[in-house]
Amino acid sequence: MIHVLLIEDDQAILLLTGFTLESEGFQVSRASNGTEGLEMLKQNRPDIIVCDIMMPDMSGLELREKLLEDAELSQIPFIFLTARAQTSDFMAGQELAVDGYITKPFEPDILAPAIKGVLEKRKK
Amino acid sequence: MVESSWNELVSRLSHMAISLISSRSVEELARRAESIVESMVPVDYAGIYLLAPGTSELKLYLAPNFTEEERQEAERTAWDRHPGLVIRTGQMLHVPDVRNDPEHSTVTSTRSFTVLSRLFLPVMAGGRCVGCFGMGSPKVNGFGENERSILEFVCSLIGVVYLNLLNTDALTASEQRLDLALEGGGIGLWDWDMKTNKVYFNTMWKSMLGYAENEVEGHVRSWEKLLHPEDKPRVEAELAAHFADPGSSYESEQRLRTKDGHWKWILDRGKVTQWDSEGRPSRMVGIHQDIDARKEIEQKLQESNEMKSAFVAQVSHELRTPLTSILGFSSTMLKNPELPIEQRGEFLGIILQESRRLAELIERVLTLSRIESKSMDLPLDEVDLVPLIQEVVQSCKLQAAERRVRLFAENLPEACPVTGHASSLRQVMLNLVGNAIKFNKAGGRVLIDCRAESDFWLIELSDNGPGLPPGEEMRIFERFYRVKGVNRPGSGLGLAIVREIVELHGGTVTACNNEDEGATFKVKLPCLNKVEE
Repeated sequence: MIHVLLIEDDQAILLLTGFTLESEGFQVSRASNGTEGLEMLKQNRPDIIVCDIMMPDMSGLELREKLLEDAELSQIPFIFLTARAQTSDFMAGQELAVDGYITKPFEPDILAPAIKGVLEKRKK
Repeated sequence: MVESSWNELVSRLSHMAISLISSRSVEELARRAESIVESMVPVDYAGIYLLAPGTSELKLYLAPNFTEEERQEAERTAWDRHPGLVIRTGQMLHVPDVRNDPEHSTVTSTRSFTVLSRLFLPVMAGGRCVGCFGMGSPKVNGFGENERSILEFVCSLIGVVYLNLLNTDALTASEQRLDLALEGGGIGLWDWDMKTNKVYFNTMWKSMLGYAENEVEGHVRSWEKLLHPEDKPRVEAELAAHFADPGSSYESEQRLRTKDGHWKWILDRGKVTQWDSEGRPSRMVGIHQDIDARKEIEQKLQESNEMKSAFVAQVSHELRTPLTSILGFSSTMLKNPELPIEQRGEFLGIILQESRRLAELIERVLTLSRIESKSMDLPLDEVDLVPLIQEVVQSCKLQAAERRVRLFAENLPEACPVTGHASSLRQVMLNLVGNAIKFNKAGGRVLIDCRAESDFWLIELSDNGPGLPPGEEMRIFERFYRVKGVNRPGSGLGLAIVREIVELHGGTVTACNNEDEGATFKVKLPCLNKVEE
C-alpha cells in the first residue's frame, strides 16, 4: 500500500483528500502544519508527500527548502497542492525540484492518478 | 585747429580714444563723441545714427534740439537721405556748401539751423558700417581736410566701442536670462574643469541641498563628499559610460546629502564639452534637478502596487479554498452513492459551511473594495449610537446564549450623537460584538460601555476570553490576519472593514489585552457638535 503524507492546514480539505486517497487504497498520514509534518517525517518515511503552500507559520515552500537540506528527505517524491497558481509560483516550485503541482480547486478524481504517475516516473 | 607738433597730436588722439573706450553706455559714447567734435570744429548740429543690433532700424543719438516726433521722423526717413547713403556705401559724404545740396531743403526740422556745410561720416566696426555720424557747421567749408581725417579715425573708434557695448549688453542679458531660467526652473548648474578638478556650482545647485553660497567649495570633491555611498559605484559607472561614448548622454539619479543630514534624490545630467589633444575629457557641464518628490511618489506607488498584488493573491487563495471543499465533497458524494448516512451528513454539512464561508468572503471583499475606492458615498446623517448599540446587543442575544456568553450594556449615556452612516456603524458594532462572543470562552462575559472623552465618544468592548496574541494586538485589523489555533476562523476581513469604516467617520479603533484576562476594543468617534464646526 502506498503511504501518503498529507500536509494541509484547512481541515475540510484535509478531510477531503484523506478520504479520497483512502478510498483509493492509499495509506494516509495527516499533518495540519509544517512543524507537525516534519515531526511525522522523522518517525515514518512515506512514499510520497502532498503539501499545501499557503500555511501559517511555515509555508510549503519553507518546508520544502528544509527537506532539501537533508540528503534522504530530499529524495522523497513531493507534490505541491495549492491555490497559488501564478507563473511565479510554478517557477518557485521548479526551483525547489518538486515532482508535481496540483492547483485548487481540483476534482478529487485526479489525486490518485497524479500520485501514481509521479511514483511511476521516479522508478525509471 | 592750429597745426601742432606731432607729440601734441598723438597725445590728443590718445585722449580721445581713452574717452571713447571708457564709455559705459551708448548714450555716453555719443556725448563723448560730440565733445570731441566740438573741441575741433564749431558745429551747430550733430547726430549719430546707429543700427540697432540684428535689425535694419536706425536709432538717432544726440540731435539735442529735436522733439520726439522730429527724432522719430528722422529715424524713419534716414535711409532715404544722406545718412542712408553713407551707411550703404561706407563712404564719407562731404557737403562743403549746402546751397549746392538739393537734399538740404528737405531736412525735416522746424528749427532753423545756420548750417552752411555738412559732413557725414561712416561709423565702421568689424569691416562693416554700423552707423553714420552727421554734423553741420555754421560756415561754408567748415570741415577742413585735417579735421575730416581725424574725424574719420574717431568714427572708427566709435564703431568698435559701440559693438563692444552691444555685445556686453547682450551677454549680460543672456546671462541674466539663463540665471532667471535656472532659478525659476529650480535647476542647479555645474561646470567641471577636469584638469584642475575645479567646479563652478551656481547658487541653486547649493541651495537645492540647503547650503549657502560660501558653504560649498568649488571643487569636484564637494560633490563626491555629498554622494550617497550606495549610489557611488553606479554613478561612477554612468560617468565612465558617457566618457567612453560621448554621443550618449550622462543621466544619473543619485542621492546627495542635504545640510540637515537628509538624503535627497537628484537627477544629474550633463555632457563633456571639451576634449584635450589626447582625446581625454577636459570639461564637462551639467544640471541638477530635484526629483525627491517624484521618487517618493514612485516608491509609494510601487508599495501600493505590491500591496494590491498581495491582496489579489490572498483573495484568490481564500476563494479557492472553500471552493475546493465544495467541489470536492459534491463530486465525492456523487461518485460514492453507498456512503454511510453519517458520513453523507458530515460531507453535506461541510459543503454548506464552506458555501456560507465563500459567500461571506465575497461580500466582505466587495465591501472592502467599495470602501477603498471611496465609491461608497455614505449618505451622512445624525446617528445616535445608544439605540444602535442596544439594537446590536439585542440581535446578538441568541448567539451569545448558544455559547453561554453574557452581554452587558448598562450605563449607556442618554444619547451619543455622531455624524455618520447608520448601517455602516451598525455593521461595525455587529462585528465587534460578534467577535467578542465568538472568540470568548464558554461562560465568559462582554461589557459594553460608552462615554464622552473630550471631543469624542468612546465605545469600549471588554471581554474575559483568551485575549489577543501578545505583541500582535493591532495586527488583527490587518486583512486576512487570523488568530492562530482557532478553529473555523472567519474571512479575516471583518476587522479590516471595521477599521476602514471607523476611519472614514474620522475616528479610530484599537485593541489591547487586559491586565488580568481578555481583551478590550476601543472605538472613538467624533461627537456631532465637533464635526459640525
